[in-house]
Amino acid sequence: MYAELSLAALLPAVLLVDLAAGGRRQTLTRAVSLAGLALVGWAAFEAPDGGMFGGSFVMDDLARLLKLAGVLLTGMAFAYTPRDLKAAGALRGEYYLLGMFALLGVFVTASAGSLLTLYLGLELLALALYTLVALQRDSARAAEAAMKYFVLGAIGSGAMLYGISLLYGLSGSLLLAEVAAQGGVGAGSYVAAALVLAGVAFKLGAVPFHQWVPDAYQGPPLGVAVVLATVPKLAYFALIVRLMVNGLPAAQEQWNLLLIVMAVASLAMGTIVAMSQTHAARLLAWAAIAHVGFLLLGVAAGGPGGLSAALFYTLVYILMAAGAFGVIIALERQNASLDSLRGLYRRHPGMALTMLLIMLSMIGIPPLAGFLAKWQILMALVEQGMIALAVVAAVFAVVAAYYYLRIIRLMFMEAPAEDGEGRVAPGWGAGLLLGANGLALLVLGIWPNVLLELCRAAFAG
Amino acid sequence: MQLLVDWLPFILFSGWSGMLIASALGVILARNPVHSVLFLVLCFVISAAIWLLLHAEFLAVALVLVYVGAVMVLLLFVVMMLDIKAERMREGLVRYAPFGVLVGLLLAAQLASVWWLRGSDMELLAQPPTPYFSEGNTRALGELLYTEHLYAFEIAGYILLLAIVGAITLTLRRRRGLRVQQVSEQVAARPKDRVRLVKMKAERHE
Repeated sequence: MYAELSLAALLPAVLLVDLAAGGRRQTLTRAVSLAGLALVGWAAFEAPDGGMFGGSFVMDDLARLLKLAGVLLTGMAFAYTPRDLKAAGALRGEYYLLGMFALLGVFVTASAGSLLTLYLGLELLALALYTLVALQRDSARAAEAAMKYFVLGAIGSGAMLYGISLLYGLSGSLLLAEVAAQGGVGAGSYVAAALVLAGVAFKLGAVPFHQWVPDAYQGPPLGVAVVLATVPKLAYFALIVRLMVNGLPAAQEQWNLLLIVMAVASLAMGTIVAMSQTHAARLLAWAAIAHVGFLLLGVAAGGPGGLSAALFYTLVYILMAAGAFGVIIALERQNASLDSLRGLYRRHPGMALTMLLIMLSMIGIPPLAGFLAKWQILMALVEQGMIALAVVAAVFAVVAAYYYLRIIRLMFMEAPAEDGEGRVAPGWGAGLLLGANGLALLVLGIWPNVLLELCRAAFAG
Repeated sequence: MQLLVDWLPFILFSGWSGMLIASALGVILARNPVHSVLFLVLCFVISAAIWLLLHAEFLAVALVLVYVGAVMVLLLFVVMMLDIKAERMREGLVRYAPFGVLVGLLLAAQLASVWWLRGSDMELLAQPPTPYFSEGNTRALGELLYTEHLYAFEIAGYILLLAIVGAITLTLRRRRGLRVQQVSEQVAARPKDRVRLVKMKAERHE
């Protein structure tokens, strides 16, 4: 509860600071937000385990890990983005405020113990994200992306809410523990599981519910896309674990089949379509769909091994996505086509090396963290005897190397474009943070034990 | 006398239901859109009265306060602002009639299924739940809302705050050259800034 309370207190404070600063000095809003986030992170770290409000709030190792990651990623996004948003004319204090509203949604979802708090947390998150995507008001692209995201997201939420209401009707309780105990088997719980799973897939952007993802990543300024690509994934992982794995164990055999189909479809579609992309954000969007497929395979493998592998994958993936978006933001192009990465090594070697680490990690080359994340998932699949799935996943991981290697080739082997747009100056703070982001992938790949143990501990109980 | 007391709920329910149906018909049949909205207000008030019969005092009051007090007033404003030709709205009546009949049949089937369920021996339906609270349901609702569901209640509050922030973020524009009141300047105005007394030499009219 500490983390939620401190963040809930921080939000009105930031709102008032932004108001008092006259809407012009976002530096002050940003400083207050970052300092507040540090406090919130400390509060999340210190919060004791246990339930509150009759079990509708749960604090455990999983919730703590997700909350700390959420605070870290939100802070990184805030550090990477101001220039990009300023260039897009969308830098207003509300950006920070909405980002932290989204974080509160992640917190609530991460430690939700009842159907009601789970759904409310997701809605809080979704509303903040819809507004963030529409933040650049005079851009038709952003408006279109926001409209698509809003309409499809509302349908997804609606499907999930229908499933949740069925679960409530079947079990007679809002508490997830009691839903799991009394949900039982039967047509009703299968329909509920399918509806809930459709909602989850909408949120995560898994095939066949992925259509909004590329537009939502490309339409808004990159500073919004980096939030969209990283922080919410934590809440959606919590959603899968709390609602599907813990809440619907009786129907697991049935929804696991659906999950596997969606995971393989996401892997195939994401990997294949990403190959033909020319826009950096769009490429990362399709790549994200493929990564979601990988993550879902870990959930499908099930058990503590599969779930902790999926959690590790989620954490490593959002670290990579944040870094990749951070580098593209540092290029300061309004139209972030892949060509803007051309010859980056000659223009700014540090950025190019950071991006190299991130791309190699996304491919899954040892000793980077991305390799270990993929390895964990594959091992979990093999342990469960799902050898065929492991082979399919490995094949698509190899195919995906094509578009990551293409980016590396553009950066290192091609000459910069001749149009005089050579300048890359990320600024001291953001530059150092980006470098640290890239190095973190290396460090996590070589010494993964701390994070791996944390992930395992989250599913040990 | 006892007979009247026994039958009073039924009489009230039938009377109000009849009025409800009549005013619902009024909503769709009134020629003037403003009258339609006013009929809708009447619908809400009568529904609130029916809810009172079911011991749902709090919901009844909330219905009147929220829907009649806020939503319908807004709707009334909108209807009065827009120039709606009711005659043109009615042109598609024949075209959409089959669809309307279909929806009506579906609703009738649902009602029939409820009737059929009442005949079966479901535990919940056999004995309608009597209100377990003695001090009115406002208190019972409040006790639940502020203890067990306090967390969800507060999150809902934050969702509303987010809705306000979001709506203002997306719609408030500061345009240049807009003539708006500067209240602080108005309050700080002094007579000597506004009125200048000029000493003039008196002139005589020749």
